[in-house]
Amino acid sequence: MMTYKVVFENVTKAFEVKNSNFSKLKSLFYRSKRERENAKSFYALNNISFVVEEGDSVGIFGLNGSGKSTLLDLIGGVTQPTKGKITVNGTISYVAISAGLENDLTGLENIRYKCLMHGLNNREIDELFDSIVEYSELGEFINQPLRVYSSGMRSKLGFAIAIHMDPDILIIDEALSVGDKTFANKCLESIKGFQERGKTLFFVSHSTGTTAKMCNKAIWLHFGEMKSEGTIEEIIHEYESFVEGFNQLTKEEQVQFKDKMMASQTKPLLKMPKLEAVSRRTLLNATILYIIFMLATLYHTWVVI
Amino acid sequence: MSLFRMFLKEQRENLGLIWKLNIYDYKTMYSRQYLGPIWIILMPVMSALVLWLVFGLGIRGVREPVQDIPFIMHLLTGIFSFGFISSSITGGASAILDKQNLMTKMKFPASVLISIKSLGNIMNVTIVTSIILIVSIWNGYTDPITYIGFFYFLFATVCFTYAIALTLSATVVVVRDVKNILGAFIRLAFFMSPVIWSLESANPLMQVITAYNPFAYLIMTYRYTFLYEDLYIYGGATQHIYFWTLTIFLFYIGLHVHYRFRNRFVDYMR
Repeated sequence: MMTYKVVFENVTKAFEVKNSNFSKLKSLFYRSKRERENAKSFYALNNISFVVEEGDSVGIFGLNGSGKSTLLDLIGGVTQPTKGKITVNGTISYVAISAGLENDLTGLENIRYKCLMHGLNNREIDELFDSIVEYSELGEFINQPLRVYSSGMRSKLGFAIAIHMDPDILIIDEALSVGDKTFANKCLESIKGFQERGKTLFFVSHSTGTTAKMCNKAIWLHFGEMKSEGTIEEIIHEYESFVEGFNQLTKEEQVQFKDKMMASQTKPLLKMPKLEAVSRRTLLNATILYIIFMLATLYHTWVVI
Repeated sequence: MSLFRMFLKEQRENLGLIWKLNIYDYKTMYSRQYLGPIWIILMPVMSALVLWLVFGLGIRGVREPVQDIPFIMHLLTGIFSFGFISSSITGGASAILDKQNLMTKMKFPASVLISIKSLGNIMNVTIVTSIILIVSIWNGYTDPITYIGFFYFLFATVCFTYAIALTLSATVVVVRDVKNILGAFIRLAFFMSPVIWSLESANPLMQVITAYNPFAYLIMTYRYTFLYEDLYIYGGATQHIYFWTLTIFLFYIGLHVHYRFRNRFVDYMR
């Protein structure tokens, strides 16, 4: 039986649009009725629903600013959706360039550090350690602090760690575009092996060629909306014909088009639901109770003096 | 109450992680300094020396011993305990913001970051306190049984500073300006608390204020542990009750603020 690895149900991610620093600060405490009505949110993702089955590899397409990274953040659990529900079954590893690596630690220390973050214990780390070092191909640099690394070396290390975590779901965001050809090919081999073990993959790259090789399904995001989803061939075909058409527009028309789309993403304010346990009322009651207590103490001191 | 249970569960689940990441924090902090962890002792001793030069050596009048204890010990205990309190508050306040790099790339419970800072500070103060302990035993200032008071001091300080750090760490992410105010506030607390001056020589109004100053409560607890002969800990029932109700209240607010913003921390960092 196939199980769903990732389920998005009507997921919306909106960021409040604010004008001045002062109004930003003020809105944390108080908002008049008129301000509440006029407040706007930028809908980075709007009402996205899809399911990903075990063993699927999903490529995500879209122009710059269409919400690809926002989507990956949501899958990775780094940010929370403003509305809707996300269900993720399994462990996740997120590969962005030099994600969560510490500049002042050496390569070796960074490996241990990152593994700890992924919830591995010392014994498990020891088992993986040599393999990660070898995979990263850093040679002598592995003993150097990360701040002397080139960006290519960082992404090598980041990828080496991420692939060894053997997560159920791997998220790759443009990470392979930095390494050299030979390393990129090695990564692709590893990812293939990863897929063969029936794991799930999310892949974002501007190169449709690489994505086509890696993935069997695709999602096309278009300025926060999900334009279409389906098999990789269909989507690539649709997407490429769109990009071709888009490229034929003049520079001005392109800018106008983008502006128009961006404007359509700005809609009435949407706020994140609060945790049930957090309520303004109980907080207020406690504060009043405490102030009464404080006054009693002060009175007591007064009498003693 | 359910917030508190949620908070405890998070801490329990990540206990091992807190310990290990704390060690990596040390490595990161001292990796570019030649003396490394020796600075843990050197820094508070240096700041105590500076203050001793200014206030102890007669530049502003020779200081009398406090309760028959040399002024330098009075100063050292004050600096060490206040240093622990202030670094717990400022460190805790920036705990979440400092780990932006991590928070924006990985799913990670934010309250654990405050615990890591808190643990690091506990280790620092314990190392530094060994100096006081040795001097205290050497001179026989107090009955050794009062040294147990150090654990009460640790517990009380951690509860109090953690409560403040919970509120501040969330506030600093949302409104960065708070960080600037915090420095001034700590400096005010330094001069309002009996770090340099002593309770006996203070004027009556200051003594009343000090009785309700939680910083003073903690500093004096520390001093009573290592310096003064009385077997009892500092303060009367009023002070204990006052301190703990204040701590519980601040913790309550802290939990509310933390959990109110916790799902949006990363959104505010971008």
